[in-house]
Amino acid sequence: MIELRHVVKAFGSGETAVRAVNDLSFVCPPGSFWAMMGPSGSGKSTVLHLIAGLTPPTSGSVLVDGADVAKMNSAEAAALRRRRIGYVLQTFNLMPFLTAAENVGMPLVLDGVKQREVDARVKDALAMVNMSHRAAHYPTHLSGGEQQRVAIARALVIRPAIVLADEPTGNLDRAGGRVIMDLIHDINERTGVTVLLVTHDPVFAAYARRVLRLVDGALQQDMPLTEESPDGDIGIAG
Amino acid sequence: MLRLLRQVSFRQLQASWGRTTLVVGGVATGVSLIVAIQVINASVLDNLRRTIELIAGPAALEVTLGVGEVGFSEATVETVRADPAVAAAVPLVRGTISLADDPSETLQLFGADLTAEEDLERYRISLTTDRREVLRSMDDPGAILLAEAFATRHALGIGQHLKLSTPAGVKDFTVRGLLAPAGVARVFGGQLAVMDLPAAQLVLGTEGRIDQVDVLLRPEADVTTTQRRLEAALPSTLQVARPEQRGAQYETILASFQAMLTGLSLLCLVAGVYIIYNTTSTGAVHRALVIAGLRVTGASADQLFRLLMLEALVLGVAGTGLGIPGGIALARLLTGLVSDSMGVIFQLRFPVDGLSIEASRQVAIAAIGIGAALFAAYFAARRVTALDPLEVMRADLRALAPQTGTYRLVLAWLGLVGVSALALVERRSRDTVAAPVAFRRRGSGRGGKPLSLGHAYGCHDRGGRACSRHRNHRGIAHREFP
Ligand SMILES: Nc1ncnc2c1ncn2[C@@H]1O[C@H](COP(=O)(O)OP(=O)(O)OP(=O)(O)O)[C@@H](O)[C@H]1O
Ligand SMILES: [Mg+2]
Repeated sequence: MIELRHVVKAFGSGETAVRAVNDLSFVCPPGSFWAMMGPSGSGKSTVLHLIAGLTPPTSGSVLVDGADVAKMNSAEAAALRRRRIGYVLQTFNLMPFLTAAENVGMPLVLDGVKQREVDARVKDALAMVNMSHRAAHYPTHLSGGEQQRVAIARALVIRPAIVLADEPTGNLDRAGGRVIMDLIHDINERTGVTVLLVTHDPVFAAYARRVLRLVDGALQQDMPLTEESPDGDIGIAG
Repeated sequence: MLRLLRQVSFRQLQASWGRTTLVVGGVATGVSLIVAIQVINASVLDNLRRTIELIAGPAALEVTLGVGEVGFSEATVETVRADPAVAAAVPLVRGTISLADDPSETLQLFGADLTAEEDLERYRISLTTDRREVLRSMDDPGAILLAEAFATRHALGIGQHLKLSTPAGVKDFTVRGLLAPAGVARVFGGQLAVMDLPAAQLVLGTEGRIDQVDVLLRPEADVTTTQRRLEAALPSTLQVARPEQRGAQYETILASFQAMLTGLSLLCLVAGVYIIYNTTSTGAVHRALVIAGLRVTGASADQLFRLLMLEALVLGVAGTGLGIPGGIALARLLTGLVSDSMGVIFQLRFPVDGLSIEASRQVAIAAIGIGAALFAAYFAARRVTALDPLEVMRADLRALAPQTGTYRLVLAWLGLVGVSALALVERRSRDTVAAPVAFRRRGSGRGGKPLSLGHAYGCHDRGGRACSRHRNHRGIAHREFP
């Protein structure tokens, strides 16, 4: 469950101040699959950063499973990312000196999980994204789509409550993008993980059950795409 | 943490091996120089001390002249012998003589009571010739014992004659025995001649006068009390001292030498620290993206800080691990050189038989090396882990990292090491020149007590005899007799 209450995020001050997020409120129930769209600079990435505790809001509150992210110290926010939130970035953000399997296992290693369990869970996660055959490969030897699948496996390996995906198809062609979107969709269906997806592409946004449109950091449009939302009660709070 | 070290640090260190080499090399260089200098100093001092003991023989006290260089009356021996604690008092004269046809070939002449057989033992004068035969022939005032090396060099055998220029003029001598290259003969690098006391006095023109009395005490005697008593009984111009006090005086001279060398090695370590700081910080900035990535993946800043420090510890240990044996190897190479130049300074050649390696010192140096690596890494690690991962991922990395190329750093490092090495060599040769002046000054500052054996053994102006004396640039005393 993700809840934003009158969140404002401003960068800079005085005349040059930019409100990247401007009084944004919503409640995203567990198991949702939402897409966020909007022009460049409309604050989509910033919303994901706020949820992941990578940056504090200027005002308002961001709650993840009821806990206020803004009130967490950096170690608690790190633990939140390590244990609850799988983050998939547009640029793949894989460590070039680690194999696919090692990249996937990194959040577990950071969390001090025993190596045997790490190995088992990495195996499962790679299987989920159909990348088992590439476990021992280094990122530079993988295609863009394959790298993105490894990044998704890394987000999934922690068995997250929430997956934040910031333009995961941005660097891929349409066909490659479809593979990824099918995968994300499938995972949402199978595991019930909450997915918050940022995309520019309406075709990919159509995978979601609800689309939020941001303009200048504020909610401009809120479109439920399907009636079959998990709990049928997707409200816009505030 | 160890898994992170293996997966994150080691992989990256391996990938940027040039940088890694530089860090490890920086620590290793600093540490090895400190180790080398410390080991050389300790070894040279230890051997010097041993040599001084060797020369002093078993004497508990020495009576020498405090002021002036004219020797003192033989009658002093009787005063010393009269002390109840004294077991034996051995008078000695010393002087410098040279080959008549080659004045640059000088000999330290040592006059002792050779008819007393135990004196030979006492001063570790080992003969290659039969002892009894030698002693029988020593009654002849022209009888002389020569160091074997010297005799060989000048093709002199037993029974052969040679002309020596002495304070009493050019005289004929007969070689009656050869001194084995051990004990005192070894100390003087073979430039040693021994004569019976009265004959030596005659040759040196110091009849009835002596340079030193070695005092042997009875086993139950207290050294300090006897020293005081002798001081009271003897004229105030004479000094009564323990032989090891002379060693202490050497140490004072060596202290400045040592301080200079230690300063240089610290300079190297500072350079090492600078290099470590530079490489860890540029390395860290290089890795800022990786660190930011790890932060987004859920690593805490603290965790990554600890990781970077652990990494610095590993590099520091590696550098120190290489530096200590490297320093010992360097010491092995250089100790001979240093003791040679000391030999020139003090007219005292002494072999360095072994390196003195003190474990506790090495541990302390290792701690300094590792500490330096941690110290250098600390600031870089603090800085890079404090960066906002979002900023790092937004920013152009090249703008973040004011890069000094690895090669330029390697060059800078080699340059520093080179300059230090040059400075070392240069300082050493200058020191060789400067030292005699230094000890002369100190010597007069202490009321003329001779500070070096070269001084004490070498250059005494006897009986007011006209004798001009100068030192060449290496501090070797020459006497010229009109
Ligand atoms: N660290 C920052 N400092 C200053 N301004 C920032 C910072 N981060 C974001 N902004 C500004 O906030 C606004 C929203 O940025 P954000 O990255 O959230 O946009 P976005 O919707 O993700 O855009 P895009 O589709 O191009 O990725 C932009 O105007 C951006 O310039
Ligand atoms: Mg964005």
